[in-house]
Amino acid sequence: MKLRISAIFTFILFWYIVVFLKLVELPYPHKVLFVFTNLLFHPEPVLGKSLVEHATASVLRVLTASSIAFAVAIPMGVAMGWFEKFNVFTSTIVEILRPIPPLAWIPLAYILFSKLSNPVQTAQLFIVFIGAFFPCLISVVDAAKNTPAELIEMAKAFNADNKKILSSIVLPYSLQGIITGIRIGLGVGWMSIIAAEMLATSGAGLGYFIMVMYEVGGRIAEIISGMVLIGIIGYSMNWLLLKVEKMVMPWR
Amino acid sequence: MALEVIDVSKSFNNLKVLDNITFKVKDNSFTCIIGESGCGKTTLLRIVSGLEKADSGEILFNGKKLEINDVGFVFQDDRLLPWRTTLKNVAFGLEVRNDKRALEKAKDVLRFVGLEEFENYYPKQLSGGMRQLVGIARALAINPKILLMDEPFASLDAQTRNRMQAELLDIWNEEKKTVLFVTHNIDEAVYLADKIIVLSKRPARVVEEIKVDLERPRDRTSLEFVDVRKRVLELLNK
Repeated sequence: MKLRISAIFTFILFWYIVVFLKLVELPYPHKVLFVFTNLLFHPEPVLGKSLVEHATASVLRVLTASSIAFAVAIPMGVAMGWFEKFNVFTSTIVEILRPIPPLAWIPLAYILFSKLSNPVQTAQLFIVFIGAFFPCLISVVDAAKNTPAELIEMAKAFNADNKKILSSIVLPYSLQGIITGIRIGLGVGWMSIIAAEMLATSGAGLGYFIMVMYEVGGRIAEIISGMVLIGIIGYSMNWLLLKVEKMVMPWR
Repeated sequence: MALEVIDVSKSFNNLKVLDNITFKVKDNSFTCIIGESGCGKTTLLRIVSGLEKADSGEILFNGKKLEINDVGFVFQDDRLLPWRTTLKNVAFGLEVRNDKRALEKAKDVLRFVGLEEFENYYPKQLSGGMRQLVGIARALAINPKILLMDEPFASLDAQTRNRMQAELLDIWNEEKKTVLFVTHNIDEAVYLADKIIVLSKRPARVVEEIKVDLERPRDRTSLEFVDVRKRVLELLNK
């Protein structure tokens, strides 16, 4: 804990020195802190929304799209880990699509969904879906595939059928992979939404906020405030899921 | 006669493992199968259980084909499910059988083997001996016609192993199951068995069946005990 606190102080001190020596054009930390605390709940004049409102918009998008991604990735991953043929069939496509960064999908997504009533929203959800889906899928497949053959054989010795083996052996064994997958997927989804929001008018969202603050004339304190909140939320999501992990797997 | 193993042979990729294994086991008796490591005794047990198919021969129980549902299997490594508590682990086989009273029955078995205090413990919180006892309880819970045990105490230290052997005999005394127990430990076989079936090196054949008529609890240092040990050792070295 001592080390952590001194790390933060060192970082802030470094920031002060850099600004004081005019090495880069940055506001002092206390100025950013003032703007940050002020904008947290008070609407910022250009967009008329507080940081909390922007953050809520982004978080809701990520949660919606990631939930859909996980709802597909988890059963699919378990199935891929369990049925070798399905794995070979599916992973051929997955391995080609997986290395494409979510951000590379942005232009195509905006075109694909342009005919819908809310193309921007849909495209953004799609991009987060892409970001959250693949890390989660890979993690679940890995876990399910590594289910010890000894445990499956034990179940067979007690005359368990495939349904029972899947629900009582493979699925619980994969839980670690599922939770890790959700944690990493949510992290990538969070990065993707910020990027997706920067490219189109979405009315609200932290990425959108940062972009607008840049476009109206380089409001550095506002931009950094937005970035700080992005960091805090990303960190909190990870921390929360690590806690959940301990709660749902008391046997570890 | 309860269990009859008749002319069972098995090869893996042209490597003959079991060569015409034939023996009979009496109802409620304790039989040890002994042989060197890698001689095929585990394969034999897996064939009896139905986990593996023999190339030829058959397994009968009271004249009928032995079904996998009639068998309680205890593994060398405990094979408990790490995410289940002791109680839920013991209930596993009953769950497979859709037994509505699975947890109740599991509790009874735990009380019977003396582990009721540990029903809410996870496997990693138990000692090696306790984990094996849970494995035995899990096999007993389904009330099998025959208990198949594959070197269940091989990975335990000598003292725990001796204690577990005594506990197993206590359990067997009360439950009176037909037990088929595979081991490579001569001392263990002589301590436990009514009958020892000695297998040869690969491909395994039945070298001899030795009746052990010593009274229980057996004294591992008595002359008679040592005599039987000597006999088994000679047969194994043949």
